[in-house]
Amino acid sequence: MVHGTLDSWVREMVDLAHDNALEPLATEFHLVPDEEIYTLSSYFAPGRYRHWTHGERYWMAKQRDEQGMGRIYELVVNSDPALAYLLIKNADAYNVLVVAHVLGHADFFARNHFLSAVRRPHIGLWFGEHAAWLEDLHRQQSFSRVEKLIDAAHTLHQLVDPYYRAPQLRTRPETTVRSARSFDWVKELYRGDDGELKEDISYTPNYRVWPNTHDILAIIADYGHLADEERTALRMIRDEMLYFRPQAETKYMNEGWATFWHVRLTRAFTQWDEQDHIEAMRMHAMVTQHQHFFNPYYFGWTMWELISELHGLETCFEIVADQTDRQWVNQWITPELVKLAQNKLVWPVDRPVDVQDPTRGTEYYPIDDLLHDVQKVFVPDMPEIFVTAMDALSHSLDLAYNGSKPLRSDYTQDVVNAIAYLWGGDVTLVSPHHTWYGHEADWRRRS
Amino acid sequence: MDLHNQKGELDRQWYLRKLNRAIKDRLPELITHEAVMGSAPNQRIRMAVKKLEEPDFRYQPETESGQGSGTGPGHGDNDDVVWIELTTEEIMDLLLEDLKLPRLEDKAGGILQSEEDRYDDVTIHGPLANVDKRRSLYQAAKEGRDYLTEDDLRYRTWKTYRKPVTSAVITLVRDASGSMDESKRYLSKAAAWWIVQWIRKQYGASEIRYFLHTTVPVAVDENDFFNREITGGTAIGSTYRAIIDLWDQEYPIHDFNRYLLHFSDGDIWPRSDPNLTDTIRTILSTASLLGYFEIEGYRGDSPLWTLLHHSAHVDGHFHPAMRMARIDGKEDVLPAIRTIVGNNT
Repeated sequence: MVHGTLDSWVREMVDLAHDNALEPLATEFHLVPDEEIYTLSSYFAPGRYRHWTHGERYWMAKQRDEQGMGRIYELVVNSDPALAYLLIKNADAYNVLVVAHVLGHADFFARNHFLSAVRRPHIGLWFGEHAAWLEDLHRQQSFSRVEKLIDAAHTLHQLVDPYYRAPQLRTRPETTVRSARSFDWVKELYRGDDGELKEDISYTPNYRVWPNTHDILAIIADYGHLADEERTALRMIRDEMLYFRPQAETKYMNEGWATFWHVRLTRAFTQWDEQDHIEAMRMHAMVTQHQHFFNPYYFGWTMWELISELHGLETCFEIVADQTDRQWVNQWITPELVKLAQNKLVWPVDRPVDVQDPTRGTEYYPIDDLLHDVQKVFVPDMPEIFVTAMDALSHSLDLAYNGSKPLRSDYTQDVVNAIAYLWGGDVTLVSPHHTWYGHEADWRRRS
Repeated sequence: MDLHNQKGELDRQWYLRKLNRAIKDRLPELITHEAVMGSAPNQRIRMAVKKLEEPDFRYQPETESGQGSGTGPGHGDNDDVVWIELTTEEIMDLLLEDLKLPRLEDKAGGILQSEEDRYDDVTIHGPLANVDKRRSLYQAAKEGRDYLTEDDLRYRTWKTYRKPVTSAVITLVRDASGSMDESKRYLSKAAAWWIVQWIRKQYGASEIRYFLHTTVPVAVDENDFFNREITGGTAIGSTYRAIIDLWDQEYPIHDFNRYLLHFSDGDIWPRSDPNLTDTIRTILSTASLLGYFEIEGYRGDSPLWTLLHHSAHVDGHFHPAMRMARIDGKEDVLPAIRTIVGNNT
């Protein structure tokens, strides 16, 4: 019964979407039980390789639902056709809203260049191949060894670079070494070939990586001491990171866009009975709760509403096509927009005088401050690490960090150990504050 | 439901395995937690454990005071903690699973059991090295074939048998003299409680005897050992001799491994008893272990510590039956137990 109605909802919603100039991807809708949606949402996509971090998210999602702290309503996967998973136990009213929401996402997937660049047909099969490969590796090697390989690869997730190219390897210019002996001008005069001096030159790393690259994982997969299967496994893991990266970079735009459109589509939807429509609106109110202003649904939704009011819907379509969250907030949050938001009371108007002491009351939140505070949230907060040199003979890898803020030392040591584990040689990270040396054995010992 | 759908559950179990390590890190502070101690073995205890994070490159977090981190939106989720529930028994398993009574030797009149593997069983799966050729050929012969197929192969395998090998008596002695103040008594009881629980669990058939002592020994039962307080001066010679007498009468050395665990602050008058060194050496030579827990002792070596240490040096060797550990605070309880009943050497 539910199935039949789902068909008609989807048909009408798609028609409504097309009427509103949306072009959502073709979408497969699946109704799944709760266990499965916990699994899917902890894996972010069907068929991926197993890892304990998925177990953590699975458990959290399950506990949250069981304790009534909020449940997962839907999962949408950027694939061709797009995949949407709806929770079978949800009331029909909710699922109608979710269908509209999903079509919003599907339209975003179709328009945004970054997401289109990583989309693949039948993404589940692609993930399944990776999972099978890693599963085979588990059988060939040992469970814990592969676990450590994956863990180590995951530590480098933020440094993957879609624009990575195999670097040119430049030989260092040979340093002309003057002898440290005292200057003997007679000898200097008669000195012929300084061949005997050359032998003194201690060995220096041969290769400078130019241009310096962030993408340690790619460098390791290409040049590390690894078995070919492991190399392939690392490339697969890296490819998955690249697949998920634009989704993380457009999270607020994407959720906001879906919310923006589910509001419009559910309003135009004709198959409501009155009670269900109210139910659906209640759910909309719940997901866009904004005691916590940075709820991505709420923030994104209000942003799109404000932009479309100020600049028109056409501009919105253009933004969706080629921007990420960061560009979006930097370019479009203007004093004008903040003023409008405060006039409409959708963004905070007051702020506490003293955060530590709520008894001192609130004061007006000046436009400029709000603007900066919002933009500040989107400034990426991760250090830039570069590969500067690698050496074939001693198999060393030199990394550099040039920022002024110190790195968190315990984690950094762990990551450098992990890199050493993958690289299979000496790894050094030089920062202005400290130099870290990778200890392969420490990563191996880590439980 | 096929395996594909169970991935989430399987990963959760994987995650829990990893979480055990984080739990183990919390245990030293739990071991002296009042809610744990003295509770029934199936009592559930709720505790917060830090979530496991995958390390990555990130900045040193700025100190709380410097950053008024509430102004900007997008902060304030306290999600980095998971709550788990454990029973006292599970906690004990985690804590003490790798401990074994040291120097436990086989004795004739044994009641304690140990495990023995005997190769006297057959399976149809196994490593090729364990193929039982006679049985495999017999299988083929039953079918009337003169060659072997995969299905004919039989493998030898083992069964684990429990067999009684030895027996042990554990004697716990607690100093109840006036110098043992509230916190010392608490620490000594905490250590003793965990040891008793562990012995009950792992060596259920062994016997435990309890003594309190001041200048004189008082044989008590378990309840009194943990609850009764008496006052007086401190001397241990009489206690040790009483224990030797008890052992000789009831627990003959040929049938029993004898263990003596002593909790004291070591505040004694060593000169008052000239035979003490001999007594201690007698114990060392007839017992498997003389374990001494010094509770909040002197800053340097206490008289008793010095005496025991001195007595344990026989012919230039430290006697293997002698083990000593200090407990200066709650966090030392677990390491001390590990030092004394740990399996090392």
